[in-house]
Amino acid sequence: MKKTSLYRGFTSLCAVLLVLFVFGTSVALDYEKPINTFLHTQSSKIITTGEVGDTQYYKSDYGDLNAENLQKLIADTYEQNVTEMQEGAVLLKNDNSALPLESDENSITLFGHAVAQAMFKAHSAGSNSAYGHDNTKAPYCTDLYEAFAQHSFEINDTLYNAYKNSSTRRINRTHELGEETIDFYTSNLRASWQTQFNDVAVVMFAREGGEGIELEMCDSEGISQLALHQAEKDLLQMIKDSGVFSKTIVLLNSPWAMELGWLDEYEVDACLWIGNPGMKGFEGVIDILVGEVSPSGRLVDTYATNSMSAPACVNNSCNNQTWSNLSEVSANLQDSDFDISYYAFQAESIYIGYRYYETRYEDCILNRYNASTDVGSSFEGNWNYAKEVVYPFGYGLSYTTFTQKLNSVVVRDGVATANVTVKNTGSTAGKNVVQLYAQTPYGDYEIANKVEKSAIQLAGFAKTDLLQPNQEQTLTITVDMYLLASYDYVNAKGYVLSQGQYYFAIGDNAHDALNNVLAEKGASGMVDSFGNAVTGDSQKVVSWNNPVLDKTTYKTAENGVVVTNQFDDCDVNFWTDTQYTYLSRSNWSGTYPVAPAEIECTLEMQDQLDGDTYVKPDDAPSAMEMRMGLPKDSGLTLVMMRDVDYDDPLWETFLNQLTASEMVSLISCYYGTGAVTSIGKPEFGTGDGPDGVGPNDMAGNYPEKYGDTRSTCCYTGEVVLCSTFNVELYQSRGKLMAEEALYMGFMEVWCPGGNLHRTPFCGRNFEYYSEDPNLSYLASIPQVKAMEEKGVHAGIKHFAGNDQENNREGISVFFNEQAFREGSLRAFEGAVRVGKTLSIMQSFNRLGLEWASSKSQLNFGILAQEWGFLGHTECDAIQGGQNTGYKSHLTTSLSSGTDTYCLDDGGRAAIAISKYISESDDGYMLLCLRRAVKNYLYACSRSCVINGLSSNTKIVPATPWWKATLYGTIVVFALGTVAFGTLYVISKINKGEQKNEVE
Amino acid sequence: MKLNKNQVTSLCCLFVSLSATVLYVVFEIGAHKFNWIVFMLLLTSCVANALPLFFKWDWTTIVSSIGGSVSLMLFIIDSIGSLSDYFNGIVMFGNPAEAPMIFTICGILLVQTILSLVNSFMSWEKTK
Repeated sequence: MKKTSLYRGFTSLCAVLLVLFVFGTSVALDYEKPINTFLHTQSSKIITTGEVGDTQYYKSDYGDLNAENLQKLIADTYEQNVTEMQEGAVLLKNDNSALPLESDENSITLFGHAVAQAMFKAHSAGSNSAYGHDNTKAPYCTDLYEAFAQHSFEINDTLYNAYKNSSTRRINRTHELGEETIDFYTSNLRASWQTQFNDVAVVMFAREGGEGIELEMCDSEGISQLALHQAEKDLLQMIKDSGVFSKTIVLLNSPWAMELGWLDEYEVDACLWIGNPGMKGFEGVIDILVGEVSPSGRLVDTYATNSMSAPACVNNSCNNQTWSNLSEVSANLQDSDFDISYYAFQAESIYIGYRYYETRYEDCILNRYNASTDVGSSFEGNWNYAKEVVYPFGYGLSYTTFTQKLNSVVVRDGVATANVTVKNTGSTAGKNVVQLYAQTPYGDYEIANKVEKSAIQLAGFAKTDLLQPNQEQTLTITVDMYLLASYDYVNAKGYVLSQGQYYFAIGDNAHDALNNVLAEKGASGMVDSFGNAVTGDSQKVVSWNNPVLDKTTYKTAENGVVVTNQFDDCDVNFWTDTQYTYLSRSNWSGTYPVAPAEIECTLEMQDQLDGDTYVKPDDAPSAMEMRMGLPKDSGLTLVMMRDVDYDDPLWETFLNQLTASEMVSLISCYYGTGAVTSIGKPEFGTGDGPDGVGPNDMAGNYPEKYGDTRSTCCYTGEVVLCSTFNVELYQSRGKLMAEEALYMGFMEVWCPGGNLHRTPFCGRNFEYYSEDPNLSYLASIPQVKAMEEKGVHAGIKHFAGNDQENNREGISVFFNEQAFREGSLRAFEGAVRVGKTLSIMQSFNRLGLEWASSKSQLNFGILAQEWGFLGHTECDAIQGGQNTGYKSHLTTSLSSGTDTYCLDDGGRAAIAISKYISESDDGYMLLCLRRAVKNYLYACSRSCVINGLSSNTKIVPATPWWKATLYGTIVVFALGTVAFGTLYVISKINKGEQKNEVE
Repeated sequence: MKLNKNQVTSLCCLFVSLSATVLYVVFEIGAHKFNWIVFMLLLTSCVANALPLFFKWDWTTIVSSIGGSVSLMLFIIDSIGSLSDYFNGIVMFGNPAEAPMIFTICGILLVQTILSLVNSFMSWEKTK
């Protein structure tokens, strides 16, 4: 090869490699924090001078962080996962005691594609330890087959391997069901269970949504994704027709409430709901199937015959709508059409899940409020509870039987205390859940002032220890009467305790408890959820009379702030002359939403929808003058602030040490923030749950220095955890996740999920607790408290109203304030007001017309003022939206109470704010920035990331090896390009001269 | 006109870069996004690949390989949200349904860059 060609070629090669490395490095620097977390490197290091003393401010219960203790922790996390499954699985059907399996029923066939493609978790954040390459199970994860094999079952490998080798896949993005069609079951396959492996047919069905992926209300088969599909029907029919199986057991590997009206039709003997089991949960499932554990989980959602029968399905989820004048709105507004087009009118008001079905049932029984009409009925004729509901909220069977006796309920000083004795009357040991429900008065005042009341609501619960046969235990349940107050947004503009008769009732489920209340009221004609006539048991009810309407007790928050309406503008009626109706039990047929609301976005509404509402105040001080003389070193470091109160002026002195660029760097998060050497703030990461400390795409592996680099535990989905109704398990989940976070060096983990199962279709129901706000409230508190005690903030998400994944970005959500406060806000209120979390993640949706992160009434009015939140608020992922779209109005969100920006790659949001302040000299925005930085550092100073720091430690910059390597490589290729390019040019010139000489 | 091996290679590069340009334009317009810098770089690559068919300019191979690689990297950066969603099985930062098309365009741009590199290393003959 000639020299010229070589020089030309190497010039090109070096230039191409230079391009690759320059761009690659640019991207890597944008993602510096997660790369450091992934590689366990740091861009800073801690230098210690002199004595530091005990700097473990937040200690691990396992002792020092080391390899030996990590192994103990990992073992405990796996055990927690199994226990959650053992206690969270719900036995829905068990005809003729089909379960537990007899010891000689050990030759089985596993049916359903899900046995080969189990849904350990749904796709979202959280741990990555369940799935490996190509969505197969990861090491250390146990699937159904392995769990059976561990118990020495003989399994039909012919069919199992056929499933494994099949090209069929369940794909959440395309809503591919992933079930084999009947053609798959060839004669060879059918022969495999004709003479053997036919003690039991174990069928597993799965449903899958995920982040940004709503389940379909009407799919390619013209039915809801939660209904039984043709391939599944054919499979069940084939098993039934074969006539060889002694038993058919169905496992529901779906955290979404499926439509289960078909269990009898296909002669299913037993059905066990298992949700998403996490990495070890299938071991717990088998423990139940073989009877080592008696099931004790209870449903946290209503299982309707037809999922679409919920009034929330009329306007929400895939039935959200676009403005009736969408083209005008699109033409007038700058943000993309996707950001401004959709709205969801929550016409269902407070009537979500069982609060609808049970309330309408009571009004049918008492024959009032036009409840017994065909409006909203899924079937021919008038609305009929037994036809609409398959399994009510709180339902769940056991292998043994229990009696529950309500000994007393005493209401005193704002607390109701119930005393319940539970006795195991069966022949098997087991645990039992006591569910305490309440009915509050619904009278003239309530009807006149649009104060809606559920006929029954969960007030509290407790779970027994493992009770042996004939053993009994007395449990005490305390109820904060605040949970039974109602928000009156029309008259009192605050919470009221209604005047009249209150009923406290226990029951096996919400419907059973309501029947007991109806018995106490002397009603007749009651039925259970299967349509059988029942009388209820008034012995399980205690009534209490509130002599006067109480508007004052809850009018003032604990911190003295007066509670009043904050969300009038989130009611669409605030904006339009057209009256939009919310469902009211005072007139079921007249208010039931029969069709999605059509809403026109007026010009006034468009102004607010525009989102860029921040205007520099006339009296805003000069940012430049405010920064004069700063930064000013006062020798304060982050660790010194750990006991300094939020309102202490020392915080201002501390903040004055920061340069402007340091301040903006702290509001830009990407799974953590970098070091700030001037204040001794270390670099650290954050986790992302709720099913593990994750995050799923970057880190999640324990640091190598602890001798084990496997991923942190993938626990059961939050909905399974919630179904345990076991406060101790909620606490231990929080404690173990915090312990894992200590090893990972995470300041906070974005968990739990506090949104509601507003409809059964929300793509992320698996990581939210329940359809019931009170249960969500009560479940969040123990987990959050346990994490906070370890110095790991439980950043509950998504605050607030993010109850659907369909069009979640930018959707305008309209509601009335009672429904919002008693529904969407409840879990967050528990985590903040009682659990005292210092982190909270906001949501993508709009409240009314404003993005939740730009809703000052939410972030200041409710969160900071009413609930007394101290800590930092973080928007949901802003990546890709810093410069365009509804999230790009950064001055509006920062001034409305957002402190930090999530997944702000390259610090683009922070840079934009910095640029605005310097260009506009807006001192008010600088104050907003200082507030945000203070809130963030306040949360940091109360977290485990200050472990190891003292007044004798300093943080100094360091270049991690990967950055040095990238920079070095760029230099090499740049020099190569220049050198070879020069040689190429010289070679060309020489060639030209030689040519001239020849000529 | 009989083409020498450099011109044949350049013609191949031209065909590939034109394909990439057309696909890019169709895809980006369909996805309601368009990066003019990428488009101009793609056009530059096309021109750089076309010039050797008419002139004895061997330096254009350097331009073509740089144009191809820069446009490839910019396109990947523009599409990182969709790719992230695709690999994580979520819908959050982009549109994972676009991933197959993104992979296709990236593949074509990679082929063009490699072809240009190969052409750079080849001896350039006089046109006969």
